[in-house]
Amino acid sequence: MSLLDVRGLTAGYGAVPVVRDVGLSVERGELVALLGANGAGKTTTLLAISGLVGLQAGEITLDGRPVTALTPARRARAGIQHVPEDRSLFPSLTVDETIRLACRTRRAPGWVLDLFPALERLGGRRVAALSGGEQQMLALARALCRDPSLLVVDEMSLGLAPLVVNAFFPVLRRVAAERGCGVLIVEQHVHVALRWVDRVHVMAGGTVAASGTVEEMRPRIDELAGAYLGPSAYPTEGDKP
Amino acid sequence: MTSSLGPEQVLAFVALGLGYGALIAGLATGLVVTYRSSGVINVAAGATAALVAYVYSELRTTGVPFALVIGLVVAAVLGALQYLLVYRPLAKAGPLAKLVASSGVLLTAQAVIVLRWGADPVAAPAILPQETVDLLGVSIPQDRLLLAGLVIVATALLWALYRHTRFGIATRATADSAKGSVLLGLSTGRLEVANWVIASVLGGLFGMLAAPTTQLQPTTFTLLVVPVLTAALLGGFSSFGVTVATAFGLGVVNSLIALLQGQSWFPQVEGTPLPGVTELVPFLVLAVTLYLRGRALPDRLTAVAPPMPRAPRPRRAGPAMAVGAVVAVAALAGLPFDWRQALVNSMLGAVLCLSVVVTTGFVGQISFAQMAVAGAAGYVMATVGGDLGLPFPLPPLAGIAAAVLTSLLFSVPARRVRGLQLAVLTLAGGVAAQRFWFGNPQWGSGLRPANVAPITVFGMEISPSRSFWGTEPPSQGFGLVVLAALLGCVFLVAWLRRSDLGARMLAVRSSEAAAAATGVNVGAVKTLAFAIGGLLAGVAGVLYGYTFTGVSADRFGPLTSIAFFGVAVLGGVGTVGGALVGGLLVAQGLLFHAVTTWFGIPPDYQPLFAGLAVVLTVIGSPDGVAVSVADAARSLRVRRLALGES
Ligand SMILES: Nc1ncnc2c1ncn2[C@@H]1O[C@H](COP(=O)(O)OP(=O)(O)O)[C@@H](O)[C@H]1O
Ligand SMILES: [Mg+2]
Repeated sequence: MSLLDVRGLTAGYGAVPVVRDVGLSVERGELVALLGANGAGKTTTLLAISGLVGLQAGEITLDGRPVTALTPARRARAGIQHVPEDRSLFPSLTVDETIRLACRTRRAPGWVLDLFPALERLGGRRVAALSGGEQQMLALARALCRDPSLLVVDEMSLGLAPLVVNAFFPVLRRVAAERGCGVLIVEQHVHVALRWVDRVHVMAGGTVAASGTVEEMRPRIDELAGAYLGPSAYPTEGDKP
Repeated sequence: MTSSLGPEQVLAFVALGLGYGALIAGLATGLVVTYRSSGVINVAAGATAALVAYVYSELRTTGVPFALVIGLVVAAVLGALQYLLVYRPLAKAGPLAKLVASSGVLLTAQAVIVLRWGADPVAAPAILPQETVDLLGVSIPQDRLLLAGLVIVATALLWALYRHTRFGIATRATADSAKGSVLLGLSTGRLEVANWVIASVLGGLFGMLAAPTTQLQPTTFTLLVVPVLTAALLGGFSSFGVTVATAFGLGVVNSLIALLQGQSWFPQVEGTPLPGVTELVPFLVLAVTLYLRGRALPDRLTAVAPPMPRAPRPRRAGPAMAVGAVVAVAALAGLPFDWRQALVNSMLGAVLCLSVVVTTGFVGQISFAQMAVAGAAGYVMATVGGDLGLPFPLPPLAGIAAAVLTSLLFSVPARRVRGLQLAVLTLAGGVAAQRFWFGNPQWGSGLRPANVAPITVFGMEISPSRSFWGTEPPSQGFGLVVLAALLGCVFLVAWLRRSDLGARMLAVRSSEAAAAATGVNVGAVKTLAFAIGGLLAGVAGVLYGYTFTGVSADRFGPLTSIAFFGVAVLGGVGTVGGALVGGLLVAQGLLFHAVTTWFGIPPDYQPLFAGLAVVLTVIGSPDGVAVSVADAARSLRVRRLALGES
């Protein structure tokens, strides 16, 4: 039984579905990437998993239990933490207040501080005054403070320098390995993702077009890129290993 | 009645003002709480606090502690119900819809009070000790000082609650990003209920504590919301400190004005001090501060962000007008007098709703002073025709000109102040106009109505009671005059919507910045909209004067403005058809008459139904009844077409 199992997911913003018959899974302790060109439906899929977009058909189970009938807040309490594309931080709060809200304690748990030592230094700063990288770190820390069984991160590297992005992947690996948390990320930079994740699902035209382990996918990457991922998938100078 | 003006008197009156200030402060901090958690400007706060105070006074025989506890429970329930029944369904609606819903709650609460306890003042037993204390040789009622102290303690507790507890942090977080809160797993609904309960309990508590020191009378208490809104607005709907300080300031100023009114040199009218000064002060404070601060206020307050009601172009306006005119003429000729009166009232209401269509529907400016503008027309007409004795058509023309000028006066702050702030400012302006002008014997008519001479053309009188076609009021001839005026106004607004200017108005409504960027002169467009809205309200005011053969201050009050605004929104504020539907729905109009005569519902219940209808309409059909009906008809047609094809 997978940690997250999505079957036949059909969802959209009005009557017309944007994603159709999506099937994907995430195991405990596994890092999975959802790849796809702009507009392929990745964000919509994640929103449907966390409940912010309604389901028209399909089934989502977490640890074998269906979550489809739960509100977004209940899904969050059931163990799904979603870091959305816009990060949805609270700009007028301080870093400490954000952590306190997420953890119910005044300090972040030791293992979160281990992953993000900078949190202590930023304590009293207002979120609005943080840099992009610091905000992404806080968004991840806020989600991890809830000790999720599934962490979903949309466009983690959006607007961040490659160096900063490269620092986040090891953190996610550790979260998966040490906490047994399943991690599902959407990542534009295919070659970066392939370096770190265990498995990928490739979306195109609102559905999953290919799935497989990194070993299976690596030889096909040029074919997949040409067929599904579009020009943004090709490595830029900074991404080259 | 004169008193001396020494330091002792000043100190005593300052202390008295602290009591009033405490009541304002208690309600205003509640307003800040609900605004921050739900984005609602709760204009009903005064009315619901009054409801709690009435319940308390009703239970006075059972003893103060019991009555107080039950009052607090009622306050908590009212707060929770308001959120669950009204604002939760409106969570995704724009600020306009929420404001209108809140006006509906105000009208409902007000109607319940009048139905249950009547409009006369009611006594409430004191909760706080009534002894006086000696302060610098002046004896001061202890309860005022206690009230002030309690408000300060309550505010400090609130501040600590929102600053330091997880509940407070969660509330602030949700105001920042509701999505972020939900994704974190917080129950935003529960947070909002809790905040509404806190605000309502706070308002109810200070309502009960202060009721014995002020008059427990429905309108007075409901209109407390004007100084309350002033305080909350100056606190930017976020700072408890500034809000409470402003509230105390207004309370003290209010009290000092009362002291000055007792001085022999204070202007006297008919043996009493010039009235309305206390209502003028919050308005002026608000107008000047908002004008000076202008854009510096939080965006959420200034933007009437979409969704606003839609404003589709009129279709087949010409034939519809012709058919309507024929039907109305036939109705005037054939209907018995009571139905004729209801028809005239509906036509009058439609003209007033048309003015709301222009100012709110087309340019997105919320004005709660439409009745004040109409009243300006009525009163100037009465003066020009009566005191100056000028012949027809000078009085109505002067009246309409006065209405345009009054409306333009409101457009001056509207050039810098937008959205909800303007709504609050016009509400304060409406109160000031009613008390300082219409109800002031110096410039208005005091408590009595001012006579309006009937229309006279070529020696023939066209008045509701004496005319060329039937003598039973309202005469058919007068009905024709009202119909002609309505048709003229409909034509004007329909033309406006199709004109270039109308397009620019809608552009301003959807985004002032975008409109300005495409070369629209936003200030000029707003000014023109206020002028045209004023013209329409002026026509309505003049016709009111003729209908009742006089004008009186109570017809042109702010609560009537709010009721009209609600009715206009009910009908649909974006279209001419909406204004006509609004006309059907007005108090004493056709629907009202049908319901009272056919179903035997006593007329006293009309305000209650009107209030509930406003709330329900906002929730059920935010574009107004007219657009919804048109939509339904269209989708029915589409479905038929589809069926026909298959
Ligand atoms: N709020 C929305 N309303 C309507 N359509 C939307 C909305 N958000 C996204 N879409 C449409 O859904 C499709 C998939 O979008 P999205 O899931 O954001 O793709 P991705 O994240 O893969 O770039 C796009 O065609 C987009 O235009
Ligand atoms: Mg996306």
